[in-house]
Amino acid sequence: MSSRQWLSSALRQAQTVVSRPAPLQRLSISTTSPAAALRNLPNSNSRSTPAGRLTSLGDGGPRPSSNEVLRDYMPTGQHRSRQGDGDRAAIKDMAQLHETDSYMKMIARRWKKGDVYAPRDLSPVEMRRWKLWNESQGDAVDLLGFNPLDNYRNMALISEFITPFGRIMNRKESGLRPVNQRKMAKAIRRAIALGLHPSVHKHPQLLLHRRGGVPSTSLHPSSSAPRL
Amino acid sequence: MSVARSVSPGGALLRTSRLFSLPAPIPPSPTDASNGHHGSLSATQSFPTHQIITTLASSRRRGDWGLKRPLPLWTTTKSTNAMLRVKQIDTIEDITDFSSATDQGLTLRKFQELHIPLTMPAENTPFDSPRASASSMNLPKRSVFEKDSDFTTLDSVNKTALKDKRWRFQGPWLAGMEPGQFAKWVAKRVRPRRPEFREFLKQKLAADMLQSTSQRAIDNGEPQPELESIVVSDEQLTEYLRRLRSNPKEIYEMVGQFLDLAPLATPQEVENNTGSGNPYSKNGPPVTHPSAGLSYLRTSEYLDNHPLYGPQASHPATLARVIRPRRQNLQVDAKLGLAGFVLDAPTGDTNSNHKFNLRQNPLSKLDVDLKGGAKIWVQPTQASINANGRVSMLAKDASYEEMLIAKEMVGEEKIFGEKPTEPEPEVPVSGTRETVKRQMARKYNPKGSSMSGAPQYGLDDGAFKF
Repeated sequence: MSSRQWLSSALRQAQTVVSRPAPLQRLSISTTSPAAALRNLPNSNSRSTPAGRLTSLGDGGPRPSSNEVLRDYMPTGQHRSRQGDGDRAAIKDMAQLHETDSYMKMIARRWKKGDVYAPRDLSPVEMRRWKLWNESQGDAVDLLGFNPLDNYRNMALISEFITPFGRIMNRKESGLRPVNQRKMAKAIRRAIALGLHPSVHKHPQLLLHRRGGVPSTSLHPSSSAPRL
Repeated sequence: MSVARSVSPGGALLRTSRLFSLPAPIPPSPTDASNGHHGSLSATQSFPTHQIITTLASSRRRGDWGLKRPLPLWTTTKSTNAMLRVKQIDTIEDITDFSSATDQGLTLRKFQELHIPLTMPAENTPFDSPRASASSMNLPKRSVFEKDSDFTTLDSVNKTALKDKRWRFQGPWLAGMEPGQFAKWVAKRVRPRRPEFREFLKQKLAADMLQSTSQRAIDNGEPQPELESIVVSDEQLTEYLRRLRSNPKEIYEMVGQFLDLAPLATPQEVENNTGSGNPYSKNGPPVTHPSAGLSYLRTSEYLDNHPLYGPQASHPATLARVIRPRRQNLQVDAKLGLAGFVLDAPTGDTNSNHKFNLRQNPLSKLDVDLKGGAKIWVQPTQASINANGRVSMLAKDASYEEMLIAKEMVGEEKIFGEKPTEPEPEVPVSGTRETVKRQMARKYNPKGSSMSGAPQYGLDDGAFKF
């Protein structure tokens, strides 16, 4: 596991080299042997050397794959052959994992147990559609059966219906029907006017506890549903 | 309806019959709509909502699908499988609205090739929890077609008696309702039925009173009273209502019977994971019959026979597609695709999870150079339908021997004699498992001669089921 960690950091460093070609000597990543090979990069711009290939990546030349770049840094020579086999496998492994992570980002659909798929569902066209932001499907206020005006002190709720810059969400984004949209907008205005909620961003308490772009505090409106 | 009324009753009956009209589409799975802000409208639904129609090859060439007008040949003759779903027979633009239905149609065929029966869903585990995959992995479950769980027609008497066994209810499952939905349902459906409920309670009270009076009659040696002779006064009914109100369990029974509510598990039962009466009380009753019409097999407890190796301990292994590899840093688990259904990768101490297999493990990384994508050999163990009509399948890793035999069946491996070494020309392998088998059999046994001196068996007849 630890070898994977330094290898991934090495690869990240290699990418940094791509974007910032000038001072190659400053590279010092790790003390382990394949990284030491990285440290002793020859300071040359010719494409025949590995470093040259790395540095020439930015200027429009044919881009070698990450595997190719890594192969150039694999130790050569007889004295290293025994250790080299393991390293080569590890580096290949790492490159594959890096590739996996990159491709996984393109699999936009979070497959769930019980989904049915046809070949078309695995296509890039279909995956692109899963990335898009669709309009909300239903009216959350109607579904949960609460009155927004009674909930102007519920900061999680208010923050849910404003944009990151504090504007009241459009009807298209909030998915509320006109009656509920008016009530929700009034509740938001009320909360801001009373100084309970900031007017240019979401509530700081919620911004603090964001996890992966989603506020961890859930929506708990006080229910005014009729009781039996 | 107005059209049907203008013709004769016989004509109307014929027009609305299955012979002349397609059945109305069923509502889609509730989970298909609840993907939040992300989702694709063109993605394959988790179960078909429209009738799939097919036609003969000769008719298809003429565009004849038995509909009002011939369908365009350009879009309907290219597919190998003639399967269409008709969304509308006749639109305002004078066209027939149709689309291909091979996605759902072939999924059904592929599922039926697995030869696994549909079983009752796990009672105590929620559908998506990891426990659902891990628990009772190898235990055979009860078929949905067993006498004590398969109820399709009910009369009013056994409706109450079979409350804890049946799967279809007129009323909703209250635990699955949002507060807003519940309030709306109460206002629209329940409140108008108040007088009816009073009448219902009156009859219940009359039945109670009849029981006590008949007991008294037996004791006194008098003739048995009739139900009609019992008169319930308003005071008695009010008193009965008061008594019921102080007994929540009893009043829930009454309301449940009156509205035909789906049974609920008590909070204690949910918390302690203990079983209660109805198998659907914890996750809600299913939207379809618990088999969903996918398969009518009762059991998978039969023996497969191999032409060379004799009776087999297990059913033939199947290839499953790795839909998504497992990446811990992205917090995603591996998902497999089997016969077109997505399922969890096998968990626990299995072949594909061994440490020494990690480097070659297709479950832990994506090999983009692999043509057709990564696949692993699995052994499907059970399938059931959950409350939302989705298929929950379980599969375990195929053992090395099962894998070898399955590979030999399709000609990828040879157990006795030499391994097929010469590089074969790339044959595009497509279609269902049976067709692949047939293609492979033709490829490796072109003259139809017997393999390794064994008696004459076609590769297709590899498994003899009894």
